[in-house]
Amino acid sequence: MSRMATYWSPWREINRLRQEMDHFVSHQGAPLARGTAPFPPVNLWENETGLVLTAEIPGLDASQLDVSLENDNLTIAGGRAGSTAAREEEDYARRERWFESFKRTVELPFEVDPEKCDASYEKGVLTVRLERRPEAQPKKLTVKAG
Amino acid sequence: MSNCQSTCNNGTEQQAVYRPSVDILDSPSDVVLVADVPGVDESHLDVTLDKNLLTIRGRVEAPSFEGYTPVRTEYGVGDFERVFTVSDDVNRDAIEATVKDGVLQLNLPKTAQSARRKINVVAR
Repeated sequence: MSRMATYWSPWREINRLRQEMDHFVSHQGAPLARGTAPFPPVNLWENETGLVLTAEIPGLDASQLDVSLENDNLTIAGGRAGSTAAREEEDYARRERWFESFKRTVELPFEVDPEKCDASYEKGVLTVRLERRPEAQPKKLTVKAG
Repeated sequence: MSNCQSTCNNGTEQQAVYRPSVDILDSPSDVVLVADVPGVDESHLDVTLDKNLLTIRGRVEAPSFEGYTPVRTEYGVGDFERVFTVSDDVNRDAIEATVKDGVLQLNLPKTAQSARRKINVVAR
């Protein structure tokens, strides 16, 4: 059915528009959009005994990642530079990846035990496990490489 | 490498597929493509070159924490896929891919006589 190919396709139009929008949006590079959604986005799971938080923050060393806990506030801070392969700014034919530093404090649904916390970073994903406890003291977590 | 069908469509629901953010760096000697693919490692990465279409696919196993209930979901977890057009002056036999900390880097060296072309990889 070679005639099929000549029919107008809304999907093709939508894809074309999306590509144009993507190109338009990404043309200037992608510093973190401050004032919009907080970065990094996090997912939270909980049960009776504790809490798990995950965040996708690819391309960091564990040493560039700072996770700290104060009462029921968990703060994630870090940053990364632009692509190391960029010898010159004009080498960028396209720049969509974020490259600035970030800091975000997440209010946890309950206070956690600072002695029973565990943070790991693997494949660009931060996972923090926390256990419930009514009283809590500030504590800095060490981040292990995955 | 097994295809996506067997891993992410296990009879219940199809896993979402995301389009990774990329940087493309173009220099006279090579093109470097960098993509954010959190959750992907070497064993779950598929890079194919079919004629001039370069496809990157990364499979992500969504984390599941037994006994826990999701209470906040700010981002979706899924596979990554994106297709690029590669021009003829890239040396197809010398393409190298590495993944570290959820970042894919593809090195595409150019053939010696072709150092003048401006854009060698076009994002789609």
